[in-house]
Amino acid sequence: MSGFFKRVFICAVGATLILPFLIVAGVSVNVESNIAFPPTELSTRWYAVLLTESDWLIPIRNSLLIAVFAAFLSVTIALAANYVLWRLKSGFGKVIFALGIGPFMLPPIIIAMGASVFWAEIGMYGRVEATVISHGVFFVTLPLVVIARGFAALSDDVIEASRTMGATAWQTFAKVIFPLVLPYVITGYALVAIISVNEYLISYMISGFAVETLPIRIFNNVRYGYTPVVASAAMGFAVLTIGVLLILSLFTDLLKLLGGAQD
Amino acid sequence: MSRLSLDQIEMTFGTFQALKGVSLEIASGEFICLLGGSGCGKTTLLRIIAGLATQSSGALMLEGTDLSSIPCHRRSVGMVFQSLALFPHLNVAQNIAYGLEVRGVAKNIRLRKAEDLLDTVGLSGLGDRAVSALSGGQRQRVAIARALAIEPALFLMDEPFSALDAGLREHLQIEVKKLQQKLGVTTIFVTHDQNEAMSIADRIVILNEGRIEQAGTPTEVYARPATRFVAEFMGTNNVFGAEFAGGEVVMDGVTLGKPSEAMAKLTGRHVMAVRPEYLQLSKPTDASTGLVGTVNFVRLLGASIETEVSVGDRSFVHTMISDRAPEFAVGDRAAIDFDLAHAWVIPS
Amino acid sequence: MNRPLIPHLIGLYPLVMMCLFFLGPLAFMVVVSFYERDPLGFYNVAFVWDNYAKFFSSFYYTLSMRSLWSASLGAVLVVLLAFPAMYIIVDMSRRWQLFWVILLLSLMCLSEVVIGFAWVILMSESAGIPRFLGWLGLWEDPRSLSPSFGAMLIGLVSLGFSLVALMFYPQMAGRDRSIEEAALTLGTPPARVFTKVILPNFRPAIISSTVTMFVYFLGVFVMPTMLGRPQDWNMTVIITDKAVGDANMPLGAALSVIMLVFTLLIIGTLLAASRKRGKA
Repeated sequence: MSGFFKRVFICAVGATLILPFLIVAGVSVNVESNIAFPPTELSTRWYAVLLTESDWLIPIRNSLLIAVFAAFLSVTIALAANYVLWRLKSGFGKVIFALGIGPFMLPPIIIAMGASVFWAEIGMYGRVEATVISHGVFFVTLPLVVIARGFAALSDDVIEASRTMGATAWQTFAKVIFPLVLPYVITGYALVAIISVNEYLISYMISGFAVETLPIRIFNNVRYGYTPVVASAAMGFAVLTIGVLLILSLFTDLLKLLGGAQD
Repeated sequence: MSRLSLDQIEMTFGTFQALKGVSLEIASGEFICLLGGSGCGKTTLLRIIAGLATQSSGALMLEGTDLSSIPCHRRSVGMVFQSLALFPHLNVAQNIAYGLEVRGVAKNIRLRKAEDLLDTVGLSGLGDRAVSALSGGQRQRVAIARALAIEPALFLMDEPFSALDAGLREHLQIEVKKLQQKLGVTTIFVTHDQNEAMSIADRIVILNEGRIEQAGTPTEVYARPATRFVAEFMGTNNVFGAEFAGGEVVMDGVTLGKPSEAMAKLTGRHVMAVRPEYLQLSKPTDASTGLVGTVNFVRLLGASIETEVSVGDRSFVHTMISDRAPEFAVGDRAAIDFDLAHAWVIPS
Repeated sequence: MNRPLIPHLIGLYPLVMMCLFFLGPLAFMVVVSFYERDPLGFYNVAFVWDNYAKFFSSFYYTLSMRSLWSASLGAVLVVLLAFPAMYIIVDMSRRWQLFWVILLLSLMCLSEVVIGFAWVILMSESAGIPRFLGWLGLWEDPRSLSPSFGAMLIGLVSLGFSLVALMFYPQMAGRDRSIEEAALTLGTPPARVFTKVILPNFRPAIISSTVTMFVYFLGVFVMPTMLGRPQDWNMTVIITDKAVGDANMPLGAALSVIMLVFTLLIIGTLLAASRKRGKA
């Protein structure tokens, strides 16, 4: 491939990925109440609606609440599973790890359907706790893989060094292992939180009618006639997501974390 | 007529000048080692010769043809990479036959050629193996066979043995040298190991900070270093400055003796080098007027004993065959003598 | 002596969580798929094959074929675009790589709903490409481009692109570039290095990511409903429709079980194939 062709190709790909959001950004700051681009007059009225009307505030609160707790649950499971695999390096640890990879391999509809009948049966259908637990368990794959990178970078020597200096297993974990894997834990937490906030199908099938999350709200709006508030909500999402990732990139080496570091 | 000629090759990466006016003539069938520390430009020079990098300026001629306009894939260079770069998706025979395949050689011919080369490098019958199933030394041989399969005009090797253990490395050095002599292919070998360079090269080119310090036979660069850098880089050496005046050589006020005929005409300050094996140590007497110092380190190197003696701020290294127990211990006084006939004055 | 005990105890926590809330619901879903529908509530305990029997009708046959077709087409397209893109991106400077990684991560995390909505706007006659083409005078009578099969496919590709690209990233960035240089010195024209050396080396990764995307696209809900016409809807939309819309959980469960078995078969085949290749 020649350099010119490469450049054209990659720019086209980048533009196609970004363009939809530029249009949405334009729509969200348009003063008119019908969807139109380019904007005739700039206005922040749709953002004001988003942040003042309870129609939108309740879904925002629900989404954030679910994300905060689901991410915590997910990270504790992933951390425990990784610790066990790292300590035992055996069948038991591998089984737990494989179980954690499972949800990523299956189409989300199957998981959503299973969760839906399960929560209905035990009488928690429509409860926010159900969504939290399901998100926490189903998104465990990401922190699992990310934290595994942290444990892989941990050499046995470091632990043995800590032991020879008289630390107990718990002290070793608290003073050596945990600080070393902490950046990976934070990254895992942030990823689950972002994905949880953005997730639609599972939230919808578990408690879509009772607990309206922001994606459900947007979807319903788009489907049954919409106003530019949706655009401002979508922009809020995009900005929040990118913002969290940018902050993350300040604290951790994202390229290395994703396995792309070069010497 | 020289086969490959480099004329004033310069290479710049951004503000960093990797090569500064490198000129070199390489004869047909010659085995050249490019030797130097990391960042000296040796690999860059090899990549320019291969066509994997393009020089910022300067000319590159192969048998009178300008190589600059010829892209890598039409230069006919067989190259062995530091990582070996064997194709993981091909088996051993397919790897070796690859260069012939892209040249459109018929399948039976190229596979026979691969068989022959496997025999040559001592891997008969391993053609069907996956590359991943080979040992480190076997992979080296496959990489060499693959580079030679295209009957290259130039055979290039970029630190091919640096990842191997010492025993295997020595073994392969001997094999490569024999193979090269048998085939008579012009070879350029990059290394940072001066012992490796000494043992296989017809001619060693020592590079430092992008410049050629010296190009010469192993004996020349060892015994008659052209610069202080070469004198210090090619193994242990005693390098010091001395005054030449009135038919005498004086260092730090100590007369070292009468200069040899070649040195007699010199006057003023010059840098000299004396190999450790030419020094003699003796117990000083009250009458000793030459170099007298204190032994500060003694170590046994198997075949020889190395003794370090400090004289004032300077330090001298002496080696001798270890057929007896060390005569000096740390803290002993020792007198140093050497024949100026064995000393080499570095041309200034 | 108690050293192995504590890790085992700690291991119980993830084990119980995953079994109870991941495997448990899947197992219960299989049970529910044999229940009877209760028009007034969710379901009645029973053991009937009716729900599975419904699958063997021409409606579900067409639906299945359509789901397989859109998922496989989307998977092939997205890998075809993401693989060369990643090949180019890993050679960029660190700064641009970071830009792309953040862009891709953002898109990976961003809701299907938001991406879908963005495309709805981009293809609408009032704000998007049709309006722009109309303004340029290239399109006399601009109409909305969605919903349509093409729009849905674009939605799928833009949804899956970030995921595949990030899957390729570590292997692509960490590859031994001297293999490509070796191919050059051995006489491969630069234009053919990609097909002669890079593609064959990445074949396992390409196959596994295509299959992963295929499975993923089988299970998408938002893109078909937002960007596709009813005749483009896939199995996932119908399952959701039956389970939530009609409150027919047993039928939804049965259809999900069929999809689950199908998915497991595909993953099993892929694993077996890669194990075989590993041995050869």
